[in-house]
Amino acid sequence: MPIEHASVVLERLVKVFTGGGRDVIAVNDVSLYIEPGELVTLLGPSGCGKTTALRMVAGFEMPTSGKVLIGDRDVTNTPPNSRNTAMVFQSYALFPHMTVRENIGYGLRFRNIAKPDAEQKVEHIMELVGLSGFGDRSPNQLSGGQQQRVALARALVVEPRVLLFDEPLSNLDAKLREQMRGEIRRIQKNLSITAVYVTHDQNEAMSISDRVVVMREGQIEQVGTPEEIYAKPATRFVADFVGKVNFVPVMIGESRGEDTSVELFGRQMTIPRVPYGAGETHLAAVRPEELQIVPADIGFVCGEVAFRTYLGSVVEYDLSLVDGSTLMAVEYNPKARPPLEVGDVAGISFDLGKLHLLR
Amino acid sequence: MKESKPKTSTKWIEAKHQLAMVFRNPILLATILAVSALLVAFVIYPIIKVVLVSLKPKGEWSLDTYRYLLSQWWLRQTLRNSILLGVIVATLGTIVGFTFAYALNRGDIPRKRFFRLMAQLPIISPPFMFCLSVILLLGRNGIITRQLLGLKSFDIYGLKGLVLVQTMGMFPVAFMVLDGVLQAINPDLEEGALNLGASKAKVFWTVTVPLCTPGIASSWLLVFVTSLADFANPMVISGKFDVLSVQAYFQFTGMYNMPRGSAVAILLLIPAMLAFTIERYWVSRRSYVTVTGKPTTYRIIGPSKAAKRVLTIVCSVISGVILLFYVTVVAGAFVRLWGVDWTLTLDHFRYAWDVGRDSIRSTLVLSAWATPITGLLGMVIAFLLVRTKFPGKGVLGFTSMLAFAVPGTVVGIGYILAFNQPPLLLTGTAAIIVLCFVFREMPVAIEAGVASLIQIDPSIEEASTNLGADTAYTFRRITMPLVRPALIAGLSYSFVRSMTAVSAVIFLVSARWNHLTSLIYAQTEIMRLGAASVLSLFLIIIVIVIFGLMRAFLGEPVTRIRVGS
Repeated sequence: MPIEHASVVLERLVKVFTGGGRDVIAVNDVSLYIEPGELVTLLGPSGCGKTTALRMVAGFEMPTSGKVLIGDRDVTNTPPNSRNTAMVFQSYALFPHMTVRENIGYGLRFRNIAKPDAEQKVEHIMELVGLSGFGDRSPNQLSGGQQQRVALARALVVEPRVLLFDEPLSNLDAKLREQMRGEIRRIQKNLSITAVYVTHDQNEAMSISDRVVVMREGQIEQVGTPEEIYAKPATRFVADFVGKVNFVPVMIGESRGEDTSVELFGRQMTIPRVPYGAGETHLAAVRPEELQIVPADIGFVCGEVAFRTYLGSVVEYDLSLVDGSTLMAVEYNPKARPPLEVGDVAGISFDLGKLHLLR
Repeated sequence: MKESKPKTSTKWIEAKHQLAMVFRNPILLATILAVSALLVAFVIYPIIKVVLVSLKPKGEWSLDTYRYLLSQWWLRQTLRNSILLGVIVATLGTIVGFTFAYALNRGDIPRKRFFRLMAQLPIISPPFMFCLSVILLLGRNGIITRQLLGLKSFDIYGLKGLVLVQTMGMFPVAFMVLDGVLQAINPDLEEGALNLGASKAKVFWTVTVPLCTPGIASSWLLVFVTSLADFANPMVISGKFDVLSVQAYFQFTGMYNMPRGSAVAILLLIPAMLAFTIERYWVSRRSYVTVTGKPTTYRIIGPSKAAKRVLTIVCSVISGVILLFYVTVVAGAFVRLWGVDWTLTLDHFRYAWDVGRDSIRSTLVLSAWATPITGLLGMVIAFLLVRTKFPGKGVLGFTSMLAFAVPGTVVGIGYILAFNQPPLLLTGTAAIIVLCFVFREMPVAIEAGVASLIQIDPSIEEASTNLGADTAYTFRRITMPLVRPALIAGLSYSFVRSMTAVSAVIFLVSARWNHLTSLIYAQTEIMRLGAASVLSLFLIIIVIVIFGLMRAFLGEPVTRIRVGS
C-alpha cells in the first residue's frame, strides 16, 4: 500500500482562545518541520498546547496567525475534510451505530473508490491490525484494545498524507499500551507514513518517535531525537520532564585549551571546555544512573542514605548531602554488591567528561 | 498556558476566524443564513409588527392607544387581575410541584411511578378539559355543587375556578424543574448535616430548601409566565374576571380594533418577557446544582413518619382530583344532558363526528406537517448552538428560544398582522398554522436536541469530518442517528402540543382549516358540554396513542422534557 510521503510544516503558529473574559495563548509561535515518513511526538504536560497544535494540523482549529503546510500546499484555510489527514482520537470516536467494517470503510466513501476495491482495502487493513473476523461486530462489543485497533484501521485505510494521534493509548492499561505502541510504530514504519503523535507520557514518546518535540506553555522547549532529549536536555524543564534527574550547581572558572576549570561540591575540578564565562553558575543535569556509588573516601561528595526503594531489577537511593540537598542514584544489578542500608554513608562520583550543563 | 486580559484585537481576530471557518464551509454558511432568515421572518417580525401596529394606530407614531388603555379603569383592572392570578397560581403551583418533587425524590412514599405519571399528565392534557370537568363538577349544574350539596347560587366562574384549573394544570411545570433539581442535589449533603447532629426537619429547612432556592425561583417564574399566557382556561371559566390574554383576543377579533388589541398584547408581553428573562439569565445561573456524571446510588434521608404521611395524603388528593377530572370528561361524553337527564347515550359521539370530522382531519394534517419540520429545524439549530462557532450565535440562540416567553396570544396577533399581505400572504392557509406550530414548539425540540448533543463526544463528529465528510453528511449520517431517541421524543411531544394548541392558533383558523381545540371551545361556549367532552376524549386518545407509540419505539417513557408556556 504505497502512501504518498508528505512533509508537514508549522510556520510561526499562534493560537489564542478568547473566552470567559480573558485570552489564553494556547500555542505561542511554534515552528516545526516534519520530514516525510517521520514520526514526531509532541510531548508536554497538559495545557502545553500540544493538542491544540495537532488540531490545527487537522483543521479543527484555525490558527490566530501562522501557517500550516502539508506537502508543499498551504492548508491553513483548507477545511478539515479536504486535508487528507487522518486522526486517531483519545476516545477513539468510533461511530457507535456502525459495525467495525462500516467504521473502517467510512472514510473510503469520500474517495471515489469502487465498492469491491473499497471492501478489499477494508479486509486488508483489518488483517494488518489484527481484526480479521471482527468486521460484523459493533464497536461496543469490543475490548478497549480492539476498539483502538478499529480507530487505527479507520485512519490508515484512507491512506492519509499525515496520520495524527491524539493521546491514542491513554485509555488502555499499561501492558496493552506497550504492545499497541509497538504495533503503531511497526505499521507506521512499514507504510513510511508521516505521523504527528501527541502524548504526555515520556516513555511513550521516547519509545515511538523519530524525534520528540518537548512543549511548555505553548512554546517549543527542545526538538531532538529521544537520545538527544534524554542525554542532552536543553533546559531544566526538559531534563525534569523526561526521566529522573539531579541538578548540581556548577560554578564556571577559567577556560584554558581544551579544558574549563569549575567548582563542584566546593572542590576545584576540570571538565571539557564549555562555552560559558568565568563566574557564571550553571546547573548540570545528572541522571540517577550516571551517579556511581563508591567508597566514602574517594567520591566527589558524601551522602547518607535517606531512603531506599527496592524495585527488583534496580535499587533506587535518595542520598542526603551535608548541604541539605538530595541526590537520586540508581543501581542496576543489585546482586553484584550488598545493598546499602538507610543511614549508611557512601561516596558519590560521576564521569566529568560527560557532564551536561544547562544553559 | 498564559492568560491575559483579552485585547479587543484578539477578540476581533477570533470573530474574524470564526467567520472564515464558516465561509470556507458553504453548507454551514447557507444553513446559518437560512435559519436566521426564518427566525427573523417568523419569530421577530410578527412581534415587531404587533409593536408597530400598537404605536401607529392611524398610520403615525403615537402613544394614544396606550394612553387610552391606561386611563381606563377596566383595563387597569384587567392588568391587575392577570398579575394577581399569575402570582397566586405561581405560588400554589410551586408549592404543589415541590411537594410532589420532594415526595418522589426524598419522601420514600409508596406508588412512586403512579404519582410521577399524575404529576406529568396535566401537561399533555387537552386544553379546556380541566375547565370542562370543573364546570361539570362544580358549575351551576355541577354534580358536586348542585346534586350533592344542593347549592343553587354557587358560581365557580371567576378567580377561584381559574386558580383551581390553572394550579392543577400548571404545577407540573414546577414539578419538572424541581424534580430535576432534587435529583441533582447530592443526598450526601443532607446525610452530612444529619450526621453533624441536625434533626430531620432542621436538615430540610437548612440544607434541602436553601439548595433548592434557585429551582424554586425558576419554577415560580415559569408557572407565572404560563399562567399569564394561558388563554384556554380564562376563555371558558374566567366569567367576569377579565385577564389580558382574553381581552386582547376580544379587542382584536371581537371589536376589530387592531391597535388596541395589539397594545393589550404588548402589555401581556412585557411581564412575560421580564419573568422569562429573569429566569433564564439570572436565576438559572445561580444554580447550586453541579452535574458530576457520577451515578447516584446513595442512601436517601427520608422525612419523619408524620411528614411522610402528610406527603402521601397531599399527593393522593391532587392525583385524585386529576383522575376525577378525567373520569368526569369520559362520563360527560356518555351522559345525555348533564345535571338533568343522566341516561347514557352515544348521541354526543354522533353529533361530534358530524361537526368535528373536518376539524379532526385538518388538525391531524396540520400537526403531521408541523411535527417533522419542527423536529428537523430544532435539531439543526441545536447542532448550530452546540457544535459550531460563529459570530452572533448568542443572538440566534436567544431568538430561537423566544417562543418560550412570548404568549400565544401575542404570536397569534403578530401572525395575523404580519402575514395578511404580500409577499407573505398566508392568512387563511394551512401554511400559517403550520408555521405557527413550528416556531412555537421549536424550543422544546431545541432543548431536547441540545441535551442529547452535549452527551455525544464531539470527536465522533470530528472523526467523520477528518475522514472526509462535509458538515451536511456528518449531520445526516452521524449526528442524526445518534440523537434519534431525543428526536423521536421531541417529535412526539411537538405533535401532541400541536394537537392541543389553542392560544395562537385560535387567531389563525379558518373555515377551511379549523383546529379541533377551537371547535371544542365553540361547543363549550354554546353549552354543548357533551360534545365538548367527546372531542376532548378524542384528543386524550390521540395523545395516549402517540406516547404509547413513542414508548414502543424507545422502550421507555419520555420524561424530563422541559416545557414553556
